[in-house]
Amino acid sequence: MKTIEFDLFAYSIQAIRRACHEVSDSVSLEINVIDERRAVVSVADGMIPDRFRGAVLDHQIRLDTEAQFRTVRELILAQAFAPCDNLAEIVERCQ
Amino acid sequence: MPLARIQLRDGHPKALQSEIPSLLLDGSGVPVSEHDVVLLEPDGRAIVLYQAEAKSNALFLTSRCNARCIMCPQPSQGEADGAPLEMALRILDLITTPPLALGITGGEPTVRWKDLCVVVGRIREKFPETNIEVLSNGMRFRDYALVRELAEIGGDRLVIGVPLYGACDSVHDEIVGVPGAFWATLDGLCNLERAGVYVELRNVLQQTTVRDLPDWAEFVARYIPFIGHVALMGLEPTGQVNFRLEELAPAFDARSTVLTSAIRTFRRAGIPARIFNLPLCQIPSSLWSFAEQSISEWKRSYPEECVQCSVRDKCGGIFASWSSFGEQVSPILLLPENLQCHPC
Amino acid sequence: MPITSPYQLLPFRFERENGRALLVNEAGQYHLLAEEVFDDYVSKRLPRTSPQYRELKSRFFLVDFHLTSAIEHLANAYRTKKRFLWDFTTLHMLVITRRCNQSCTYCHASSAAEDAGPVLDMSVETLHCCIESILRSPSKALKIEFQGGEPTLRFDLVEEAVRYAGEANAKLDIPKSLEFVLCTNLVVFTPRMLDFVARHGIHLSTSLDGPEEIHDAQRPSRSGCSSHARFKENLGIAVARLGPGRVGALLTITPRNLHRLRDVVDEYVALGLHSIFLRPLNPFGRASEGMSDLGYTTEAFAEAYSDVLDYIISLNRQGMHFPEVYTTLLLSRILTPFSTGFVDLQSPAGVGIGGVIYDTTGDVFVSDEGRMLFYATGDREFLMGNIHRSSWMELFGSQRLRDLIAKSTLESSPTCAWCVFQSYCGSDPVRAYQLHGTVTPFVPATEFCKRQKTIFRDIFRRLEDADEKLLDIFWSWVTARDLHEIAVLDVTLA
Repeated sequence: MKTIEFDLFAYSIQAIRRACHEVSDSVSLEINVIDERRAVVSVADGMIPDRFRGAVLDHQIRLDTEAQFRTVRELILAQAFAPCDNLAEIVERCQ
Repeated sequence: MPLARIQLRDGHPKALQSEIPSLLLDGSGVPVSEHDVVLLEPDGRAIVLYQAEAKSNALFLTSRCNARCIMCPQPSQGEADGAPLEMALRILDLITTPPLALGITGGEPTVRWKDLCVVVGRIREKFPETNIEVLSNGMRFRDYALVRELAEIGGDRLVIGVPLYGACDSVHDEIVGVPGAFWATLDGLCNLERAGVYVELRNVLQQTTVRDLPDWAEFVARYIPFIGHVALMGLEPTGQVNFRLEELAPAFDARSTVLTSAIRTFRRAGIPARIFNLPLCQIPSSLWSFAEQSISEWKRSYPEECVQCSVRDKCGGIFASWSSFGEQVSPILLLPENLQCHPC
Repeated sequence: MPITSPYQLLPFRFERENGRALLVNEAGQYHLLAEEVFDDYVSKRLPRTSPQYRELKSRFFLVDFHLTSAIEHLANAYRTKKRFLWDFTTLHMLVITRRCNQSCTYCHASSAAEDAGPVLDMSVETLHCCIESILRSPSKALKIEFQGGEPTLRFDLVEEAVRYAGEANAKLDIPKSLEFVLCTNLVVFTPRMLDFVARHGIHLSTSLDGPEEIHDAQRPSRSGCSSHARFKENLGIAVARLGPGRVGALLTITPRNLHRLRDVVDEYVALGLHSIFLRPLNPFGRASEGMSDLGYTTEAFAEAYSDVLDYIISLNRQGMHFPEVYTTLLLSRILTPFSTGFVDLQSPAGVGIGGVIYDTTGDVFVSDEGRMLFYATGDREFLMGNIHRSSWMELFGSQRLRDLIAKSTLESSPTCAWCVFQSYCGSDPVRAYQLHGTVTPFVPATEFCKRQKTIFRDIFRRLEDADEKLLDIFWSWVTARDLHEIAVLDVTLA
């Protein structure tokens, strides 16, 4: 049984949850939020802490970047399937 | 308008429309042949506007342009245009045999849109089998309505030659001198595709474009794969280029490496590619089959050393204007095995 | 001029490993970055003057001022990739008969005995109905595939199908381009059949599981005698008459041939075939009864796949044009901007909207696996309707089908939504339902996902280490050309 601590000012609880979810079929994990700054993940043996930390970081990056380009992605798909002439206008409004 | 078609009389070229002493057509300057079209200047010069024997001819439509390319061979001086449309139509009148292809150039032909439509329409009408090759920076084609209009007039004979100098705006716009040019040209290219117009994509090999060439080739293959073919042009020392030659002329090795990389990319993607305006000694031998003998006879030269070269007869030579810059040729002394020198 | 720029990130998916990041943009173009550069890129600290900045911009991973244009062109690229959707259902499979003259150990089709009687064959009336419906498909080009059981047991129906389709097609305002494929075990292949196939430009799709001892062990005749010898003879005749371009073979990988794939490839080459399609075992029909006897681990598969791919590549290096079809499909997605519809691996899944199967009874299923499920368990989950009772719209425009498609779209599925291989992968909802009881399983836990990821990583590793010749070989597969049409050869100076 290992515990991995995360600084919640650097990693969001959502990123931690996603990383846990990804391996939940093979490893059992438990997340405990200690206070507003700390969360601890208890993990069964066999999980490499650095690896898990890396996974959490990757998910954090995904959450951060997706927040930035989610709208752009939706516009790309919308324009792909239902192209419109006033795209510039729509992009302006979404900014 | 003092244009004349050359006709042979007693074996000597004579101007058809007027009496011109044979002294003027004595062989100095550009040689003329039968069915060429010349402009007769008041001072007695005859300027050849159309060469019946040449592989390609171009009709000059305007000196105006909506760009400021740093290696422009015909930089606009902002002068008034004269009457290029009338000139072009008159030339068309005087052409006897339908040419294989006729170019329309400038400046930027699309800035005189109505004139462009008239000329394209006239060529289509008079020479329905002739390819109409419009050289354009493609920016005005961002307006799809214009593309449709031209496509309808030009039909399946229409070819648009569009330069794209880099894989992103920072490279392309810097060369073209217009912010936003890259995206405008890209939009234009996509509109041409939508309208089913054949596109020749061009690039000129100078320092900046050479540095970006492999990325540019990848970009073309992925984002504008619909183009008809790619034309990679060697730098011509004329116009603007002469003032900035050191800055623009690419290093031989760098150019060879990227040319190989780019040609590979196009070959794999099935996009036909050709190299123009470079002598064979300046291209890796593995790329010789992609090289065209493209420099017009009156512009090209073979320096002294070329007499020893074993592939001289397959080579297009170099621009004569390079001689004032001491451009090096290196004659190929040994004949390679499996030599393939012309496009299959 | 500030060193850092206010650039915007364009959508991408990524994976990090061994100090490097693999990124894929919304157009499906990939890019490799060193980890430090990746960190700078995502934190928007990448200097505008750096070559990496220019590369990322050229590949639509970032944009500075022209966001609208970038969106426009990425939309074009995305639409190009998904072009197959516009064609709608182009693959129509007709189960000519459920009877078969073989008894393959893994039989996907749960086929019946040869003498089971014509009640297990499609009636002419049903056949005509199916063809009329098929010709209502919006696509200009359609592929009609004859399946079974073994369709050659009722070759008269195959002939009637081709005849009727030609006749009905000619009556359309805009006739379609029709391609026919005969899926056959080639155990019985008469001169009359060969003649018909040749005259009508029909393609053959057959199965070859390996050298004689493997092939016969897995694909015995119902009569008990060897099928390999007759298969080999008929294959030779077919290839000779039709040309290798019109005869394709696939292989079903079982524990028996998993570790002998090199021998299988040799057998393919020896028999005059010009490509191989490596297909892992499908856990349906007879197969799912004996799953424990027929299964193998993902790791074992991955190792065997990688090994035989090494071997196939070496044959290509020696001058033979011999693609592996599945790898070619994935390479096409990775290397080119073009659409590659493949009903078993696309997003949204090809069930119903890419391919569809018409049973002997006129029942219409979203896929062959959906039909198998019905035979095995009576589950009607993937039954679209019946050709005699349902209108075209009821079959292809039903809410059920729309829901199924909505659930089998990677772009909106958790975990697949951010998977780096999303642009190249696909969904198989019927398999998911069969194995996990739902069309929306927890994907990373499925063997399917694990296997796909292993294959993708293998391919990307090869691409990264590839010399020019290997890249040329891959492109020769992707563009169906010979190596010499692609390679830029060095001319040696004498």
